[in-house]
Amino acid sequence: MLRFVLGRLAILLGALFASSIIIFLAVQIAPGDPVTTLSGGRSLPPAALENLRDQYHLNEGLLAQYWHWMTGLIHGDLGHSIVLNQSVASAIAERLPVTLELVLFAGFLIAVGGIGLGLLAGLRRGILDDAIVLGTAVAAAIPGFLAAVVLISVFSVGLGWLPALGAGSGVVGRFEHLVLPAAALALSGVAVVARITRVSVREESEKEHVETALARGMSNQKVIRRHVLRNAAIPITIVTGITITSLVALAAVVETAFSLQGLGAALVQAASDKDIALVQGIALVLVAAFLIGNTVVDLLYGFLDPRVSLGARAE
Amino acid sequence: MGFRGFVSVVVGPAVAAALIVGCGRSVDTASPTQSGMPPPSVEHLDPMTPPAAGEVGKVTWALYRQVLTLDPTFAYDYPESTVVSAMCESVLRQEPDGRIVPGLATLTYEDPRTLVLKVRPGATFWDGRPVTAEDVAWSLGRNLDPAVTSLFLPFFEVIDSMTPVDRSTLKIDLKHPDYEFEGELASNGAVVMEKAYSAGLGKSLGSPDGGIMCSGAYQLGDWNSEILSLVRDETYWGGDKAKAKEIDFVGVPDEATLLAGLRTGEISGTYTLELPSIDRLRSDSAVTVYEGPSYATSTFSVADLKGPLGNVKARRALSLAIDRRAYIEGGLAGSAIEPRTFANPGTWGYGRTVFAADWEARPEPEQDVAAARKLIDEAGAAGETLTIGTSAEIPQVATAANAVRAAAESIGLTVELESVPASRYVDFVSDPKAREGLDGLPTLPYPGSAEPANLYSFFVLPDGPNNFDGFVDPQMQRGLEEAQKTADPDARAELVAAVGDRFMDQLPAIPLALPRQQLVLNKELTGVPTSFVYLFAPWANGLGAAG
Repeated sequence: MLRFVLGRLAILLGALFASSIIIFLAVQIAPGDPVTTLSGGRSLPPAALENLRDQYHLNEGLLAQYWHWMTGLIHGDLGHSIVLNQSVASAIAERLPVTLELVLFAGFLIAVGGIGLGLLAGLRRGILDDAIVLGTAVAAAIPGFLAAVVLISVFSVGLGWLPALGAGSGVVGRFEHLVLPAAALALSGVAVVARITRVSVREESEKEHVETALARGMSNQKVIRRHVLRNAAIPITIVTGITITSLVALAAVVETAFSLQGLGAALVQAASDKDIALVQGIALVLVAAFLIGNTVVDLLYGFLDPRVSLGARAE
Repeated sequence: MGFRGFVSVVVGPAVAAALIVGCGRSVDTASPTQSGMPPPSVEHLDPMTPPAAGEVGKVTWALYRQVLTLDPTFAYDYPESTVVSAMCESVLRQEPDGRIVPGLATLTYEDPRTLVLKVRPGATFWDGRPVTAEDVAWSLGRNLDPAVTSLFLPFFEVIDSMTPVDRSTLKIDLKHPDYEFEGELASNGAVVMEKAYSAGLGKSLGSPDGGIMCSGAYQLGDWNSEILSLVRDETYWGGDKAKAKEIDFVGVPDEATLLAGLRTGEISGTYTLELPSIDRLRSDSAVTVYEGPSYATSTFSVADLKGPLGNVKARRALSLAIDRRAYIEGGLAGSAIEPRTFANPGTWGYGRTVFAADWEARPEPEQDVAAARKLIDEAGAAGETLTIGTSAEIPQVATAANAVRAAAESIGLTVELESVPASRYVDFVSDPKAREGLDGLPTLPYPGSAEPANLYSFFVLPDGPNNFDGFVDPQMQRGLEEAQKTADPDARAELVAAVGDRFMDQLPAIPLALPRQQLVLNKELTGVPTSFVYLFAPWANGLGAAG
């Protein structure tokens, strides 16, 4: 177990370092300039522009900026966002909660809704099954931004039930404000998980040992619990875990659509501003979250399938 | 930055007109018709919504993106300008109709080079301390300090020295007479902050950590990644306290979200930058769409004077071939007028009768493809390639670029569109290297005060921010210099109007349309300007409940 944890930690650090270099290169190639963000594209007098670039060391090039950032990081300093005029650590701290709550909320919807619908469809053939198959086929193809537009126009503008933008305050306010974003973020994930669950359950139900158990007079419920669900749980867990983990990356689109000030929206903005310290800082958090999510999935996998030993997998 | 931001570069908002009489558009256009007179060619837009009847609690105001800083020397783009002008006060003040009046101080001239600013009696900052000449000198001086990196630096370089005479009097010596400097004194660059509060803060001034200390009717409340809230100052020095108790500013980059928020009432109002979906809001029962005077000109900027547009006949030909009516209807939802002059009538902050007479005397731009073809042949440019910068991701840019493309093709030019992602479009404006290879691109320039000369100088002076390829015209330069040192407003307007006439003849940039400012406001609210002034002067003091 210790070996597994240490191995994972090494992977995490390696991945973070590699991603910081990839991000650095990508930002360098990408166009943009923090100064144009401040001016909004309104033509700046050349003298003011030059003065601004000097003060922010923008003429030094990105390599110098990356070096400043890296040396700062080694001393535990995430750096300073030029555009926000704020430390990257506090910029992230302000935005992390919303993203975390959004992802957890959506993850909950995916786990409960996706697995629930999948079990329902997998265990009961008939019209309900057909409806779920059809519905999830459509839902799986709907991207988050489209789901957001539809949900806002139906539930906010049309029916007036839920707010269309912002994160709200207080527990109830926050919940109300996150229902639609979480639903938009979860929609295609629910569909994917439901379909995998359905297929896995079907597959397991049709296996020989299941039919044997039924033929030997074991109760239907017991068979489903012991033989079908136990075995189907492995693919279901993996897909659910990966789907939920990937929400971290997808959140940006939904955050923008609902004007939530989360990490994803800030990352997109920072990238187009070439705000290198902020891009690196947020990417660091997202990559870490992704790897931690995957580690949790692996742990669950080991737990569900005794044949898999964690130490062995890490080798 | 959000898409609507780019619009700022481009075609955006607003508009126009002019206020010679200053009453509602409907009223004015109706009466001359009834009396059998042709309607005046300059439309009259009311620069104000009706006054508020009472107080309101919390108001939520949308910006196209979040506010990045409250340091007034960075209040250059729409979000920062909107918020800074709502809570801070400048030395002089721009009225909703563009006139410049006393602000925190009154201005007198000792001689043409010596300005005397007298701080208004009783003026205090939010913390109750009096506004002093020292505070004014320090605030104005920041623009000249290279370490501050003020975006207004070049506009204040005319200052030679500043000397506080007593606690409330400041003497400013200019390097040369410059009556247009009054406009800068009424801009965000001339916002007065408390020196004692600010001086030690360094770079954190205007950030969530450092905050800001101004003198306006609203003071800074909570500011975090979600909202920036202003709360009214209960002891405002300058008269009645504000009618709204709190204004929360939110950044809404997505247009669909903005639309939904306005329709559900979650957003109380916003000044928009040529919202493509404005028509849908016009018919919505929850909001009123107002149109007011703007300072902006939807422009086709010339980026290369060595290409086909280097010849003035080719520029005239292109201008003559543009179907502006179709562009205004299709691209700007009808919310603009055709440009008889390059400057929008909304910029006539003084000398209005002079500017209006000039406008009346000028021809309405008519599309004339046959004449344009003749001109392009004379220029020897027929068959040459015109490369236009555009972004398919920004509808306002794309429609403007297409209008120019159609015109160019109709007169025998070959057109290439160089389309870039929205996030790269601003680079065309700020980075000469990004512009390389372009002949021109759609932009949306506007002056920092209601002063057409300010706008013209952007294109005509050698260091003008919109003078992309060293355009030189000694006659216009002389005219602008002459106007700068002319004290009498009408005499100055004559000079500036003459520069404007020459501008339309030489076309260092081609005007496409003069848009109107759009304000979308919840029906329960009123009491704010409809004009472009919201970027430059306290606009929310009268914001309150409709009757």
